[in-house]
Formats: sequence, C-alpha cells, structure tokens
Amino acid sequence: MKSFSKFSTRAMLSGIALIFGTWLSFAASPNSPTPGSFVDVTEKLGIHFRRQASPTSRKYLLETMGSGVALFDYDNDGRLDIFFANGARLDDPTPKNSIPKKDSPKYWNRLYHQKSDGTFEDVTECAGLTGLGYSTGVAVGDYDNDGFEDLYVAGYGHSTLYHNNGDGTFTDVTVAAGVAGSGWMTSAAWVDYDNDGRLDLVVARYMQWDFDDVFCGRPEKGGFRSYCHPDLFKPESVLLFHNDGGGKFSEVAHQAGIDKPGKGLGLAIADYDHDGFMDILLANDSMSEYLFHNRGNGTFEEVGLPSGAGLDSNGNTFAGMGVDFEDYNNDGWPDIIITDLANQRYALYTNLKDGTFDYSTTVTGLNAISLLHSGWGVRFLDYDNDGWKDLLIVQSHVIDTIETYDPNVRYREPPLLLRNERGKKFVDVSAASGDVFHQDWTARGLAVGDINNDGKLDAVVTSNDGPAWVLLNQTDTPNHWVTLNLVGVKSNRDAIGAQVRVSTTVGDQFATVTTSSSYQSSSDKRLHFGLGTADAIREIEIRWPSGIRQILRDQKPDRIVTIAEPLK
Amino acid sequence: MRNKLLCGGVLLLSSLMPVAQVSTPSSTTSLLQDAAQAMTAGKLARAETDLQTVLRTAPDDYLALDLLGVVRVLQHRDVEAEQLFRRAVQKKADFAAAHAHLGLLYLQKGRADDAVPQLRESLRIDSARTDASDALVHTLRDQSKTAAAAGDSGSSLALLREARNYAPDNPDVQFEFGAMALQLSLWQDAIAAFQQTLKLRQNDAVALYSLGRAFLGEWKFEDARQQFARYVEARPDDASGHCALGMTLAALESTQEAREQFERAIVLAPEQTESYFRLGLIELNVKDLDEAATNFRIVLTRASKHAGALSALGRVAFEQKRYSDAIDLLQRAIASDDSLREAHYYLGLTFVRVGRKEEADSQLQIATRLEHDEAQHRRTVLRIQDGEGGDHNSDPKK
Repeated sequence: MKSFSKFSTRAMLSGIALIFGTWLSFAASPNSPTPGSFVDVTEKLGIHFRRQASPTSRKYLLETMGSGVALFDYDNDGRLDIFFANGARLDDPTPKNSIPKKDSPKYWNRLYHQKSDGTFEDVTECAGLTGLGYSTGVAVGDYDNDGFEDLYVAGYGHSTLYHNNGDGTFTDVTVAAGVAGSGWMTSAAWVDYDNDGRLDLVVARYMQWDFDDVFCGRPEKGGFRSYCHPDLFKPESVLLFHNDGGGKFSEVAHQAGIDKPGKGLGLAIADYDHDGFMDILLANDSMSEYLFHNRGNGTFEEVGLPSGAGLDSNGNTFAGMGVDFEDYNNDGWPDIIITDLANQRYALYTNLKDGTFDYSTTVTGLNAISLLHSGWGVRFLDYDNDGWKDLLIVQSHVIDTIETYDPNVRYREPPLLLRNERGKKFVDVSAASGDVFHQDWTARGLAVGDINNDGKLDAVVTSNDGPAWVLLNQTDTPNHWVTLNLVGVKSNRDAIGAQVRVSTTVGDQFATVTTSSSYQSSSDKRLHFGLGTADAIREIEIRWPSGIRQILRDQKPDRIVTIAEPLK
Repeated sequence: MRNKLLCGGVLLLSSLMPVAQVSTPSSTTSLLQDAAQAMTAGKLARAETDLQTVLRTAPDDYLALDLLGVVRVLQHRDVEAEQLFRRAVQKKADFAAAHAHLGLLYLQKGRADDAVPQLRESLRIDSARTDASDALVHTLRDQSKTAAAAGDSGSSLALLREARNYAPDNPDVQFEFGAMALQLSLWQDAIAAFQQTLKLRQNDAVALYSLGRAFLGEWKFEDARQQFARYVEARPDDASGHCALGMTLAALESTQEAREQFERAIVLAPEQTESYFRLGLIELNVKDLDEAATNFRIVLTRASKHAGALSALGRVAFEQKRYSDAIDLLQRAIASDDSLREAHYYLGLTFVRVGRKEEADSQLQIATRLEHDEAQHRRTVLRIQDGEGGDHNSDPKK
C-alpha cells in the first residue's frame, strides 16, 4: 500500500509535470514568443561611417540602391572588423558614360579595426582601402589561401580586388587578377564552384544602365520625379571569374552557362541538392529568380522556374533584392528567403529534397508579416540560441516618394526580427526586441557575426544615404551555443562550401560555410549554432568541399572551436 | 427645346440689357425690351414687329437677329431661325447666346455633330450658360453611350471626361465617367470620379462599391476595405458586398475575417460560385488541401468550366503529388481560359515533376510571357492616366 502510494504519487507528479509542460509550451508559443534584445552601440564603439548616396534631382537609380558591409577578421586577431562600401560624387546631371569618383574623403570606403577593448578605430587610409568609384557590394574570401582574408569591392563600372598583405595593409590587384568587371555590379560571392581548392568569384550585375536623363514619375503640374522601374532597362548577366591560381582569374560565365541575363541584386550559395557542388542563387529584380544548378563539370543550368523557386505561388515575379540560402527547418536541406517590395510578400522557399522548392510564405505566416514591408538585407540567424534559425531583415522602400503613391506603404522602415517557431512559423518579435526596431531607417546592407565573441550573433546595417548601425545582441537567454571556425587544407582555406551538421540531444542542425548572402554584404564566415538546453554536442559532422568527411564527437558547447580539415 | 430657347432668350435679354442700353440707341433698347416681354407673354406677332422695326434701321443688330431667330423657332420656322442665328454669330462671333441657340436648334433637328461645336463655343465665351452646358452634357453623355455600345471605350471615356469638365457637380456624370474608367482599368481616374460622386451624393451605395473596386485595381487594399465595409453597412443583405469585402480582407492577409465575409455571402446567396472559390483559395494558401478541394468542387458543380476553380483544383492535385490529375485539371483550365497564367505555371511545374521537360519549358515560357504582358498592360494604363507624353515608369508595385 505504501509502495503503491509512492508509485501513484510519482506517477501523478510526472503526469502533472507533463500536462504543465505541455501547457507551458503552448503558452510560450506563439502568443508570447521570446523577444530578442538588440542594442545600437555604433557611437559607443567608435563607428562614424556615413554612406553617401549623392542624391540628385535626376533620380538616378544608382543613388537609391545602397552599398553593403562586411564583417571579417582581416588581421587574424580573433575579433571581427568592419568594412563599409561607400558611394561617390554624382553631378546633377551626371553625363552619360561617366564613372563617378571618390573625390573627397566622405566618399571613401571605410575599414574599422576592432581593438582589444571592443571599440573600433578607422584604419582605412593605412590599410589602403579608400577605394575607387561608386562602390556597391563587398565579398570577403581568402582567394590565395594565404591565411588572410581578401576583399572584393563591387562597384558601378569598375570593381576592385584587394589582396590582404597580412600586415594590416591591402594591395589593389584588380588588373593583374583580371576581375575589374564592367557595368553595374552589385553583390559578389566567393565560391569554389569546381572544388579545386581555390575560391572563384561570382559577381551579380543589375542591368544595362547609364546616366541617361530618363524622366519617370508624374510630369503634370504638382507631379514629381521618381526612380525608374527596372523594366525600362535590359537585363545583364553575372560574371564568373574562375580562379586559375597565381593571382589570376579568367571570366568564364559564358563557358560555364551562367550568363543568362538577369537583374541581379542578391547572391547566395548552397548545395541545395546535396551533390557535393555549390549552387548559386541570384535574386533578380522584377524577373524570375535564378537558381544556377552546378552540374559538377564546370557548368551550370538555370533551374529557377522549374524548381519552383523562380516565382511566387501565383506565378508572379517580384522585386528580388536580398537573399539567404540556409536550412531554416533543420531538415538538412538549404531553403531560400528572398526579400522584395511592399505588397509582394517576402518569398520563403522550402527545399523539398528532390531538387524542387515549395513557396512557403503563407503557411509560415510570412505573408501577413511582410505584406506592407520592403526588405533588403536578410539573414537567417539564431538570435536566441534556441537551435532554430530566425530571420533578421532590414527594410525601406526603394522609392523615396512612395508615400505619395501609396499612403499605406512607408519609405523608411524599422528592421524586422522574426522568431522561428520550430521550423513551422515565423512570429514577429520586433516590437519587444529593442529600440532599434522602432526606428525608421532607409536600410540596405546587412552583415551578421559575433562581434564580441559572446556566443550571440550581432549585426551591422547600412543605410542608403546616412549612418550605419552596429547592433549588439544582448538577448537574455540561458541557451548554449557553439561557433565553428573551419580552416580548409585541401579545400579552400576559408572552407567556403563546407557543410556542417551539429547533433545534440535536442536535435540536428545544418549550415554551410559562406560569407555571401543578404544584400551586397559579407558576413562572418564562422558558423554559429544555438544549442538550446543541450549542454553537450554529441557530434559535429563536416563535409568539406574536397569531399573529405570529418566527424568530431562529444564536444563542449559555449565556445569558439577552430577545426582544421583533416588530410583525408 | 423651344421652351429652353424662349427661356434662354428672355434670360439673354435681361442679362444683356445694361450693355444694350449703353451700345444701342434708346429706341432700339425699348423695342428689344418690348419684344422680349411680348415673347414671354406668348405674343409672338408683336415681338416680331418690334424686332423687324429694329432690323429695318439696324440690319446687323445681333441682338435683334438672335431674338428673331428665337421667335422663328417658336413659330416652327427652323430654316429661317438657323439663318438668323448664323447671321447673329457672323456679326458678333463672341456672342454666346446665338451660339447656344444655334446649338440647341441643331440638337432639336437631330444634328448633334453640328450642335456640339456651337455649344462648346457658347460655353467658351460664357461658361455660366446653363442652357448650353445642360444641353452639351446631355449630348456628350448620349454620344458616350453610343461609342461604348460600339466598343469604342476610349472615345466614350473622352466624351465623359469633357462632360465632367462642364458639369463637375453632376453626380451622374461623375459616376458614369468613373464606371467607364473602371472598365478601362484607369484606376486613378475612377477613384477620383467615384470620390466626387460620393461628395455630391453621400451614401450612394453603388458608387461606394465601385470606389472599392477601383482601389482594388490600384492595390490599395486598405482603402478598398474601407469602401466595401461602408457598402456592406449600407446594404447588409447584398452578397456581392460581403464577397468583395472578403476579397479585400484576404488581400490584406486578414484571412479569418475574410473567411467570415465569404461565409456570410454564401448564406445570403447560396447558389453563387465566387465566395466558394475565394474560400478555397484561402484554404489552398494555408495548405488545407482537402477543404480547398471541397470548395473548388462546389464551384465546378455549378460552373464546370470555371477556369480559376479548375486551375486551383489542379494546384491541389499538384501539391498532393497526384500529377496525372493535376495535368488533366490544369489543361482543362487552360482550355477554358488560355490566358490564365497560374494554370500554365503549375502545368509547367507538374510537367517538370513527371520529367516532361520540353512541355514544362513551353508552359513556363507561356506563364512568363503572360506575366510580362500583364506588367506591360499595367504600365500602359498608368501612362494613359498620366496623359499625353506622360510617363509613369516608377510603378512601385512592380
């Protein structure tokens, strides 16, 4: 009787715990999701960058498309540094065929070095990174495998490759490398598409555009001039620079079958079909989105439309701008998010594991959240380390007069933080996640990384014509984490393209090493995993671009782990 | 028309009297005044005597010529009347009354094409002439209807645009213009016209509904929602209002409220198809495929060739990986309406899934072309709205 009583009490208690636990999990989601806490520390850290768009009365499209930002450790001191791309002077009017110039320090690109106390110092001039022309995108990658991160700065008419000398300075090697490109270049991505151990370079181009004086808007009395719709201009193909070694590149877009003209703004890479070769996603403005499937023989096939990742669920195009290509539902297969303009809804494509995608915007709740928003930079990031990749999106409409067209849409917008509810739904937690989510910005670029190495992902945001913001993640959470810094040996040294599975008691997670995604920006290449309540990592599996598989077992969480590629 | 002329003639005389007193001898003025009074009293013989007396001494007196023209009209001597009015405008080209009278006479004779220039000229000289503006607006509306019936929507709209200029406070004209603009997808014009209609005639339910439709065309869903909500309040038993409100709420992603409106519309008009179709689309988007299919099947039992329902049911089959059924349904949808972009798109995706690459490429190309054409159409419409030489390439809703 006594033992029965004991048994029944225990059973009853466990039943209550179960019921209570179930009730708790329902109560916590989705009505009261955990908010984040992002704090603007820009001034405090000594960042004073202001992006110069050089707006004119002619409303040149170039002046509304913004520039990007990079988070990377250029001096290997273990702390992330920040590089900002900047505009240049535009005359009003600017003559056709002009290439704008940075003829004043206010137009310089800027490199901020993070000091040991966590504050930053402007080292642009010493580093030799003041820049040329109207800069747009930035891509970080160690193209010569010397252990120091190099920098590709895309621009209008001319891009620049800076070789990191390893002593805090950079050398412009564009001409020797043959990667200057042409036209209006936007985002760029480093990717070893042929797995030869050297990073190649993909450069998106927006369209065939020049400083023509084209009037768009409403010409009648009381009307206004506005930025032109991209439909007025012809599309342009991406550039693919194959790394031949020895600091030389060859432009092979045509030979590789990747030269289908588009209106490219965002670039991201992932191996969406698990064939061991990195595929390339190009976010196009007002065209079908392009998914370049890597055939594994040095050529690509564009499969955006047939894969189901080209249009929305009604077969409509949208103004694709920012992009990320990561596994949001922890099923091991990279999914796609593409930002666009208000009334279009951000496009989320779930990988169906058979080479096709399902438009999941509505079923995940993104439709209602994003209906009236216009997004640029976007990243999947696990802000609360619960093991599910959330979404950070920076926003603003492209047309500064949009509110006269449509009072329901806003030009300046706050950023958006969306919590991932176990891969099923996204819930908007912006309102409770800090003052920055109540500030109206004309945001464009977004890079993500753990700036203070505290195990929480931070962010840097650029605006079209104004300041940048450094957002420190101070989310109060007991959740565990691990950050993996992969170093390739046979593979490219950055390990870009390496695919990683982290397995804990709460499940598996997957990620791909890359610096490129979002909008014209480059993020920390280190892989960050929130581990939730798991206080141990059962297994880390790495599939290196070389094909080598590596498994590490029983790793401790809450630290940054550097993992070198094994010899076999 | 004859009464209008008499009324106009008397008005003319009274309004011009101060001028006549200055510019004509006092005896002439007296005679013209006497003639006008006689006309008002129906004493046409006496009026004619007075006017002939004036014309004997001053054969080019345009006032007398015009008044005598009015007398001839009242005497049914239209040929002479026309000659007299024409002489009056020859003698004084900026004499609004004679142009008006000539125009009215032409109208009476069924010569609308001759009447319109005279009435326009009269109003150009004196925009306050209600006899001319009423007649001109009436004529322009008639001509607009004729043009619309002949399929010439552009001309019809242009005629109503002119009528609207002459009668900005006429709610019927505003409404007719809005309706034609709506038909031509000229959303901004339609919105302005319906808003003006509602200013002039508050609680005009049809104008509210039409304004909502125009806002929908402009993708201004919140504005559309407000109009349809007012319409539903005014006409709570009209199923079409609930359906339209539901469509707007669905576009605003307020799916639960949208569902309630569609369900209300179905209660009010159970035999309809549209609300079932829209309910099905909501279920399809949230991937409640069985519920969606049920709604689409109801539509198809009532309208077996409903292209939208066939296509949507095809999408359901596609999502359920029943590719053979999907192909059949989507092809039937295209047979019903080959401009249905969504059907081509999903047929293309379905062909991809079953390895029919060439057919897939073909369908996806058609879908892409149709989408491009629709975008071009939207931009063309915007250019028309901006008028000649205007451009509006910055459509924010790419």
